[in-house]
Amino acid sequence: MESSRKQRWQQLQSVFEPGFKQMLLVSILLHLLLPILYYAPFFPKREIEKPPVYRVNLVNKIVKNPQAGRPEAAPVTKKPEVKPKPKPKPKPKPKPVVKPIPIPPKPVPVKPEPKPKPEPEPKAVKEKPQPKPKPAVSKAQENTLQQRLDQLRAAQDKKASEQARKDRIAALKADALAESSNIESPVAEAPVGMADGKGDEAGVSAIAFVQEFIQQQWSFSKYQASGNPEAEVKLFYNAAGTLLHYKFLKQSGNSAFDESLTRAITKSKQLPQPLPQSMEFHIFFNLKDMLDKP
Amino acid sequence: MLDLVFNAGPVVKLVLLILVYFSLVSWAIIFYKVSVIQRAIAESDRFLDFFWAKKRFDLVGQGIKEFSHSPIANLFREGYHEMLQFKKKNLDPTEPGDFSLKMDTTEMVGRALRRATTQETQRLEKYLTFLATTGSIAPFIGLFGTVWGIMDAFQGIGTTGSASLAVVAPGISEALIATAMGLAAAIPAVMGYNHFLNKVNILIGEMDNFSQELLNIVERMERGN
Repeated sequence: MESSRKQRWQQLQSVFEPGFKQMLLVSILLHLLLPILYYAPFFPKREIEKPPVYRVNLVNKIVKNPQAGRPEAAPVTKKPEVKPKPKPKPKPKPKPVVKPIPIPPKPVPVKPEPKPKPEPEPKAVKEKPQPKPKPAVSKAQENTLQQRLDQLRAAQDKKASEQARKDRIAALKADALAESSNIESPVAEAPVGMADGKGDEAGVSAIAFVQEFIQQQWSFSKYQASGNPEAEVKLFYNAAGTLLHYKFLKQSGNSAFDESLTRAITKSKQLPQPLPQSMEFHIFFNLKDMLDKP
Repeated sequence: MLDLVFNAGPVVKLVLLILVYFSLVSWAIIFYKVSVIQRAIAESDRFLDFFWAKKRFDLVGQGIKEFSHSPIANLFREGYHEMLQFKKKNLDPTEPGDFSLKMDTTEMVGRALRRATTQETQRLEKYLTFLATTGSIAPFIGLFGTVWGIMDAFQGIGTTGSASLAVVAPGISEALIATAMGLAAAIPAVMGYNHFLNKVNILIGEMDNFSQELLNIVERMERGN
């Protein structure tokens, strides 16, 4: 009797009753199971979705040999319109007077968003490249009067072409807007690549990306230079997208333009995206092309 | 979600640790009590059947070892033990100093039963206070962690000077996990507490009933003698 009373007293005071420890163990195991269950696939995960960021040239992966396609995927049917664009660097400066108002073609490789042209325009673009004359070097030998006349005409030309370009850009924008409202999901249908792509990788061409990026950092007033200076620059980027060194292979002859390029290149010493590998680029910077950028 | 825990400040972490402890122990208590109380009820039921079938104290006393988990069986054991002692002392009145002499059997057994009832109630209710405590204070502890975390978050806003949602939201989210944990610990504890208290009360009622019936039987036997 006395011993049983003691026993009961002890049992009442004890922290762990017999059998309680096992239950504590079960409880600990269950609590450990909870995080495991949380990470198991049958718990629907609520991922916080980041709002998509669209930056035209950065949407796609940068690849070395892009396939034929568009940097920003769009319906396949639009592709034929893009392809006939002239690939070579346009040099629209010295235009003969007899020529109809020229529309300087967009520089295709660096274009972030290929613009489908309104119907009549591609024809104008197509016929233009044929009458392209030699650059200004040959002109220097002609007499000064002719030169002045040409310069005046070129200036006039330029003004007119700028106006035309503005109109065209407005038309294109309206067109693109209408198009985007018509097409449900353009990304789903078109191959991702470049208009001049010959490789087999889906993505945008690295050189186009780099050129576009440098151009975004570039600021220049068109009044600082006359004519159409063009510089060729060799750039060497490592795979992380860091500029290791660069060199002007050909100076443009216009120091202000060259300086502006140097500034832009310095600003672009780190690309926002890594490259597929260390790459060396030879890029032509053409003032007209760069000013043409909308 | 685990990132939230690991990114939290030290005070919030401490709060979370305390809450995890509360949750662990209260779940252990819940499991333990489920098994103990279920066994107590089932065995009591079987014991009562056994008791009314046998109709003899000595037969019941022999079979009582089977029902060690039943509080009612324990009640009977205490009462029977008391009765046996009383009988032994009455048969052998050579010990004048013994304080159990010449006493009323019913009263003695009644006291033994009351004492046994108290003991069994204590045993059944053991740990339940922890559940009640968890149920009432875990949300407050969680709230404390949240308030502290939000204070931290606001201090961060003050130093960065930016009050955009992107700056405010992670801190508050981190802080709120303390409240969530507090509630997660408290809800099962409160549910378990109420459930077990109800079951324990039922058992206490059964023990009282049985005590009365046993006393009646003892008194009838005494009068019959």
